[in-house]
Amino acid sequence: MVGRKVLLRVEKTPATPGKPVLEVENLRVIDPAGVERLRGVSLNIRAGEVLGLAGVAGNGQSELLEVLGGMMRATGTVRMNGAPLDLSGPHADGQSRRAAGIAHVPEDRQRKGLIMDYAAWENSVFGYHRDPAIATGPLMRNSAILDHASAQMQRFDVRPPNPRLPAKAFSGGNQQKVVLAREIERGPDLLLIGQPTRGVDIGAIEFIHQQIVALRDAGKAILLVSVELDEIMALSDRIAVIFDGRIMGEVAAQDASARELGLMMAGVSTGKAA
Amino acid sequence: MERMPKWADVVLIPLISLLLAAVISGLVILAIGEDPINALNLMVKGALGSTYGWGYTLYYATNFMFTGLAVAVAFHARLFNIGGEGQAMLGGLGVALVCLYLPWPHWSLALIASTVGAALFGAAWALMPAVLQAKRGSHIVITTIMFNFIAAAFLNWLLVGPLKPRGGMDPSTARFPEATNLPSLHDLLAPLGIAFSKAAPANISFLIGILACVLVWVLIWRTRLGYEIRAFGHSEPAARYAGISPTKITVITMLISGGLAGMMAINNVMGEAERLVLNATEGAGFIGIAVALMGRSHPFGVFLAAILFGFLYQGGAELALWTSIPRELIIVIQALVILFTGALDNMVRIPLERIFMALRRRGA
Repeated sequence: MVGRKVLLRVEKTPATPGKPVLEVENLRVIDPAGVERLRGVSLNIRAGEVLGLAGVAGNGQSELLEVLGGMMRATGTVRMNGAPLDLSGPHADGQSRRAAGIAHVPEDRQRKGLIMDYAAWENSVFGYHRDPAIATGPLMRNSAILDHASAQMQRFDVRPPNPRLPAKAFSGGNQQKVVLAREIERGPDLLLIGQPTRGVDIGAIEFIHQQIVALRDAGKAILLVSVELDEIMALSDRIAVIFDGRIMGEVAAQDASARELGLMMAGVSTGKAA
Repeated sequence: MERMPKWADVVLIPLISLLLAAVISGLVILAIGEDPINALNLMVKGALGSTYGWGYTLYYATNFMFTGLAVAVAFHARLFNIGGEGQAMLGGLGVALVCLYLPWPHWSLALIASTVGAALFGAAWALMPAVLQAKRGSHIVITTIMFNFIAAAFLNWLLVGPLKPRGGMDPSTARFPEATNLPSLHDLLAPLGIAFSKAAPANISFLIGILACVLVWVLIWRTRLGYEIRAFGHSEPAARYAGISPTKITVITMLISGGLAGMMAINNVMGEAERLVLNATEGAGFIGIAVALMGRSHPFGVFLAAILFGFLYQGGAELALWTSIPRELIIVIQALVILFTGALDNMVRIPLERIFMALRRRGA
């Protein structure tokens, strides 16, 4: 179907984790309806490793991404490269998170990650549009952004590589590549990535997986949230399982079995709980 | 792949829509027993046939340009500012205070200060609805329209009370001093050897209106703020993701919108009446909504639509003067224009797209 052999397994070498990049302690979120979505989540991610967060959709993983991405308020402590993040004050926003070195590929690219009516080149700086490097005073340097987007789309194999097309004109996989290119190419210390391959064609899945592993090998920390257990198991170095707003347990990826993870995802403690 | 060439989208569709509106208007005129060709003739001659007519057409157009831009800017953030009327009234107050209570050596300085005053007062009037929307979720359509009434009542009180000169017989301020009187198009064009009607109210504000169109275009499509305004308008969750504060963008956009509506006052209050009178805005704030709709919230479209509505306004006045067609019929014609160019857009667009697709297939 894609004209060549598809690699379902991701080829990667063992991780060489470095210093801790993200440290989360006792994170709590109560939604407007009064329901506690995160009930004291603690986890950490080191440089050069992928932490996979497995769980049935709706158990708090979306909230965790949104808190870390600056889109949702929370209580608790989060340290990024040792410095605490503002979780509920004036700096609890996406701009401050990007400044702290956190990039975010959101779960819902069409509602959040992209402006569907914006051209690909406009989307290529979405969230980074305040970067002084692409501006002259209050004016954005549109032609420079356009040129950069054009080259970036070539590198990320976005098809068609036409930066003037609106985001809605691209297929799901190519939309995701536009988001991924934007978030990866600035070399963030931490990449939050939610449902990286949902609604993405099989050829693009392989490409996106390769990009995630390459980022890890470049010494970056990655928090991977996916409802695809196969994807979590293929990409992660460590796997944490979230259930009902709590981390049920954490296992090294090479020791993980789908059965054990599945039990934890259903809320059954397997004795390895953190 | 676009379904049809850009020129068709930008030029052909509005033209066909206008033509349809004209045909239906003609039928309506026919139905009340008048001659539509004659009516059209009168309108064109009255609005465009003399520099006097042009002077009125451009004067009205200037009003609509400012209020149209105000609505258009808000539209980009998906905010529906219906309060242009009230904001323009308050702009008039700003102009009146600047002109009456500060001594001005020359009209140019007075114009700059009045523009700032008008924009500040208009923006201030938009501030509270904006904050209520951003912080409390009170719907901006409701609050801005209510603020129109508050503005009208407030100005009524001012004009029969504190601002009325001693011994004044009508509800208005005193005449502005001579030094604040703006040059009309007659004064501006005379040195160039162009004879322009002395009696027509069009004045230098028309040029400020054009400048405002250019600046709004730069704001929306070239600046970071415009990028954020449009992004917020397309998707609030995405704006939040990108770290664009919905509260901040709502308030800033409404301040700009209110400021633009307020700036209309340099035309009608400072340029024409040269004093602040009761109901100085004459509904221009509401026409601005139609102008923004028809202009597709693009400053150039707003410019063209403002000229068109200026023509309808002036031509309509002529019609009422010379025929038994009532003035209200002009409102019907305006409504038809809005209906066809705004609401029934797809009625023209979809068949036209089919035609272009068919042509392309044949060509391929």
